[in-house]
Amino acid sequence: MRPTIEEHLRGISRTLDEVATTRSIEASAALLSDAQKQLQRLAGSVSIRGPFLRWDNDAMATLMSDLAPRLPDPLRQLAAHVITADAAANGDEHARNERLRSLMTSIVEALPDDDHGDQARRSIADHLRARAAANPALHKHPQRWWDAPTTAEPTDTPTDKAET
Amino acid sequence: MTAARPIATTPNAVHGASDVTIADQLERFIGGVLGPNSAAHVVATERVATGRSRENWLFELTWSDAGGEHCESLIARRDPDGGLIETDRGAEFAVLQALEGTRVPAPRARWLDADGAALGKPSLVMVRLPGTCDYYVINGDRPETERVDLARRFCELLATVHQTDWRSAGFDGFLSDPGPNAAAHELAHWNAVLERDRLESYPELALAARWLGKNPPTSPRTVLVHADFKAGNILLDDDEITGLLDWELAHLGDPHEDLGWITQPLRRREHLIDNAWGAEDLFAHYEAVTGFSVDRAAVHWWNVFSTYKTAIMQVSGLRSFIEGRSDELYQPSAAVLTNLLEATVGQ
Repeated sequence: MRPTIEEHLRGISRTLDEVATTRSIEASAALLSDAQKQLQRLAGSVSIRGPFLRWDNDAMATLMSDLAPRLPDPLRQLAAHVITADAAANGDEHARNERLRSLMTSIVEALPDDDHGDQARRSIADHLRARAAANPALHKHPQRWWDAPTTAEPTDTPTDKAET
Repeated sequence: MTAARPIATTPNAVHGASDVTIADQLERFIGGVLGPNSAAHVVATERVATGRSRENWLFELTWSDAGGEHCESLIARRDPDGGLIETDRGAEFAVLQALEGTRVPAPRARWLDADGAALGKPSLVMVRLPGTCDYYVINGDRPETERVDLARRFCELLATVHQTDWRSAGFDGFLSDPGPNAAAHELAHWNAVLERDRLESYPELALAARWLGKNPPTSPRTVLVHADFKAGNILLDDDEITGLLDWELAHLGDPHEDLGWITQPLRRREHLIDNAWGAEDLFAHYEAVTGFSVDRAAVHWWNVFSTYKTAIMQVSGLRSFIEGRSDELYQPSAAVLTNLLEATVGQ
């Protein structure tokens, strides 16, 4: 999820560097106001960033596990690998998030143009809408991750529909 | 002495490059073009924050020639280190020059520093026009009848752009005509920008790209497309429209592109007035003025494309911020992403 906290802080630091070299009081005030808003935005999101990423990662992994059996072979194997390897690694949630979102992008591009594909795209879009609402980096007052609507239930996926 | 025109835009407090440095650079640059006997002198340099994609510097130029002494209000637009879009200053200069022979009110281009050799970064110098820009004038403090009249005249301005005889004006000398495939052409262009600038994966944009790729409309005719038409780029001097600005994204393409841009849901406050000037009013007036029929399905595709393009510009802005080329943090917003998901996959 970019910018990372470090990248965001570097940006704020650049703004403050500019204050030091700006002669106009008016311009300095505008810069300081920008920096203050950025810091408030960052401070408001930093504590819930980790829980948000864990929620997003777990929801994506569940969703894509459900979709995997319907995917063409190389992508199905990749999905299985990414999902199981990540679950076992229990590592960096940020890196895991990018791997899962990259996989989701590949799945979106590979889904067939049929009813199952449409339903899978709707399931993915449902999760992405919930993600946009809960993402602390995009909102001053984000919907808290634990309040976000759950992503598609297993019974809503093409796999389970097909089995019923 | 030629009278200086009023200041064109509302200056805001801004930061960055030294106005002393830029004044010196401008004076050397313009003096070099006008010649050693011109006594070119730059005064009252002031940076303004109008226009997110450029550094804009207002200044007065005095010089002399056989006709006497002159003073002119000018504006220099210089590439920033980074931002939402990367465009070619030479192409924008060529567009402004070609517009001089048309009915479209636009600033007259004076000089181009294409490679930034004189001004540090690629820049162009234009004549400053009177008036101010107000993004939300259509939904501002004026009485509703005045605002509807203004919206109607903005629509007529767009019609004038689209009715420009681009071949006669020479636009095809530097812009390519995508013909009936204008939609697919623009989509391919912005897909390439996304691939160039993205630092992470965006399944939201993949869903939108898939939908757009499956449904591109056929362009009924090729027109000059402004591609960022909005009140924020229209100069108003009292009630008179004095200029249409920011031509850096202009190209030849489908007229529905601009219509889709101005009626996209996220920009409706800039162009439409609830219960008084809706999208259908705008289309009907456009049809009456131009004689072109508006294909509503094509406009919808361009609505979605416009939101997709906005998201990609935000992706480019994010990269600029992370790479230290821009201080302003952009990233695909929740509103843009949600709007795209609803338009391309449904609720």
